[in-house]
Amino acid sequence: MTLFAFMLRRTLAAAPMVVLMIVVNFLLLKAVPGDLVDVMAGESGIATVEQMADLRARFGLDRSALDQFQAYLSQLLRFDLGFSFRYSRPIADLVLERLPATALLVTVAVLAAVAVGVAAGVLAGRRPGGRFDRTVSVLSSLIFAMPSFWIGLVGIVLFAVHLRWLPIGGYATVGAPGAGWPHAVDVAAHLVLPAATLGLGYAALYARVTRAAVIETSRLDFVRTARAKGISETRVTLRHILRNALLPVVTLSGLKLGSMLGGAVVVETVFSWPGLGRLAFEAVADRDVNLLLSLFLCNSLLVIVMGILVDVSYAALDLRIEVTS
Amino acid sequence: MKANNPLIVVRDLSIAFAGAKAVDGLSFTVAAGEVTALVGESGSGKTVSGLSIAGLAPPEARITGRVTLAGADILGRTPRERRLAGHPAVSMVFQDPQAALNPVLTIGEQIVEAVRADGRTGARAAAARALELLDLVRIPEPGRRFSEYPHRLSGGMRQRVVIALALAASPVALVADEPTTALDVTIQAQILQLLIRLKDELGMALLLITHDLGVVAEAADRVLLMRDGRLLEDRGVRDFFDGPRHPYGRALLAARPGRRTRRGPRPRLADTSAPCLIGGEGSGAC
Amino acid sequence: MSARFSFSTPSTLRLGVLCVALLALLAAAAGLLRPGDPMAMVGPRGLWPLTDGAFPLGTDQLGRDVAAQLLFGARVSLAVGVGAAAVATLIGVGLGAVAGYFGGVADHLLSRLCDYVQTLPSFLLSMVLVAVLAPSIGSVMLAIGLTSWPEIARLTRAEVLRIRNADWVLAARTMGLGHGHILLNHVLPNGIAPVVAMIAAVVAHAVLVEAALAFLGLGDPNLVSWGAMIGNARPLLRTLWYLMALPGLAIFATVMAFTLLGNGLSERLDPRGAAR
Repeated sequence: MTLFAFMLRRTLAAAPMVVLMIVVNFLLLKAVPGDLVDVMAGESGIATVEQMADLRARFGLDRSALDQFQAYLSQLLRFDLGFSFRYSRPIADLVLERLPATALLVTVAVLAAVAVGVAAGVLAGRRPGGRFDRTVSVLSSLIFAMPSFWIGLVGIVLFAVHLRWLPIGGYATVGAPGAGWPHAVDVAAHLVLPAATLGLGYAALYARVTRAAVIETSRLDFVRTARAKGISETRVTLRHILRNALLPVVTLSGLKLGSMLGGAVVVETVFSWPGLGRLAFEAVADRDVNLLLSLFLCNSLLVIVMGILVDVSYAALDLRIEVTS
Repeated sequence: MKANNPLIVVRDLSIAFAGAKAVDGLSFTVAAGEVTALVGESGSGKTVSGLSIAGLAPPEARITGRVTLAGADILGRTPRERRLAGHPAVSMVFQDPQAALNPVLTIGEQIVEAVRADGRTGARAAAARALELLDLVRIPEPGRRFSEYPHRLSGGMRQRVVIALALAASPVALVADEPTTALDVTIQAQILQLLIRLKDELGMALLLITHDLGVVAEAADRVLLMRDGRLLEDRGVRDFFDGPRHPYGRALLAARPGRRTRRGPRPRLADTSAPCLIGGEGSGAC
Repeated sequence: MSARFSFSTPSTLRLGVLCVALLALLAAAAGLLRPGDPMAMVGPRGLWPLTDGAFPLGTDQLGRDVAAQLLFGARVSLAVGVGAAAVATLIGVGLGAVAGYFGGVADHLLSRLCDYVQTLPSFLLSMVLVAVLAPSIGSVMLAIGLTSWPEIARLTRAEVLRIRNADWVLAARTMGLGHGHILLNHVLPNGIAPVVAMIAAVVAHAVLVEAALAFLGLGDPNLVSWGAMIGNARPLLRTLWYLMALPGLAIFATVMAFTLLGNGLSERLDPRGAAR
């Protein structure tokens, strides 16, 4: 089977999932007490019963649920996520505006987490039960038991308030130049704490997965073949063990990348990072459930897309090497 | 036979795992240009003996005794340590070629790495040497195989690649651990013949670890019979098949399939070579 | 077996049981240890911990007793943790048992449903559910429970699948007992042990999620919650950072206690598999 055919098949297999997601989203939308017109009436103050009925007819809210669902679907197909009356703007615009900051945060956090987690996992897996292995195991248990927003706040108290090494929050210093090198350095400084906070838990997770994969791979015969060549242990580890152990880690990070927005909500709130997560928090604070549901839908779709990408890249690797195990 | 020229001398080798002895006071020699078969059932300690001679025993093994290669003490040293100390190489051919090759590296990458382990060979020279080695183990179209991944090759071809890997270090001795067990019956003889030919061409010593008496009859010059970590017999191959002195050796020969009864396990190479032995012919000729 | 239980219980399990029991005791005795309304302003403002015997853990920016808030907060954390785990267990064990026991279409449907729920971004879904249902201790329980049952369902299914063809189950079947009876009395009691270990882990997870939801303002507005305490302390990081630190430590201790309990249980059930 060619890669393209596989991609097509995998995408088609995800289609029912997408439909189910849209249906659930629609049902949740309808479950919200009070409809759009109630919200608008609340916003604008007083509205008569006639005016509200008129508005309901205009938005199609007086029609049957099935009709409304059809309208909702065709709206989604045009990439129209609806309108936020709190912000007086189309939701799609809001999402696109906040996307880059979250993409930056999540990408940096994942890359850092993979780097730190894989390195720790390899060193721990080389000597299971050794001092380093036990340290990593205890540390990751501690990290798993701490709420990430609390880790972030402790980081702020330590590194921003007391040591004054890093800014306390935000995307960039207000009033600083908005472009060029100084801007990049400024943003990078603002990025350190949020990315570290978001990445820490994932680093602990990757360390555990890598450790297990390294221990598993070390037992395989070809590692002995590599050792028989008389090459250095470092080379055996990096070229032979790690390269084979990385596959599950890559899979996991691809899947986690899609669901990282959940963690980003909390972290972006802690650090006032102007991304999608912060938008979700603002939606909650403003009781803008429509906006929250749109973000939920976008994230659900992102998870599915990431799942397809991971499977396809796995298949691409497999077509090349066909790991039989 | 040139048994008077020992290349590897094993003296009082003992190997224990977590207190349990796998090998107990093993002593024998291996001569250059000779095929020495180390025979025994699984669990007899033959494989771990071979691994420790090649410097590949697992780190948790407690090893005592003495193994010398051309007079130099090599026991307990990894292949890398031996190379750095300037000792000639003892290479290993593994049982399962599927598992012995790294699935994510090409054939070429794996052989080049073995060639370059000496730290002196450049990339281009190593590639040339790798092609030479593929040719030496009779892999057709070595240029094409060079850039392919192991899964594209048949079992027999993979075992040839494993042998090429072993030859990369220009070893003076090969330890072959059940080199034909994982292969198709039709391929087994080819691989065995290849090993014998390489031993002759390159003047190596070959320590052949096997449980298959057919393989022994076909390839070996000398037979070392092991059981429960101890050496029971150390004799010339004709001598051994004519009449083992130890009761276990006699029982083993008697149990060979196809000798006396038609029941029992599937006939193996042993069947085809058995008549030759009775006729008193040379071992490798059948 | 019971004699062995008291002497050779792995230390992880003992520690976990001890910590969870201590937490439950503190939560139960909150009203005795710190009588009165924890939300009442009873002392000087911004009193640091360990400076005044009357307020051992200090007071917050409004003069409310931090120790009282922590003790009453434990009630919410434990209630939500246990309640959410109960919701997840009810759904997970129920669906998993039915799918594993009957197999076929039921089994297929369940695994698709599990796939689906596990694909959803769970934290965002919990946020959405609480927002739609309006924040209350019940909606928080439900929101967390509804997102964390698939793991329990998968494990239960696997266990039931393992046991459903055992001799004693077949014997029960030949006796003409009903499916429901067999499932409840012969299959589940033998397969539930690993599930119990997982339930402890679900409680730990639920405590963390509850804290995050409350931190974002999605907690019950009428109850003291550790997450909400941390949320309220956010603007005071420069001065009264202990208001953020103490509830965080309480969350950490609670999650750790249930994690130890879960690890201890699975170690005890499967001493070899616990090294994972």
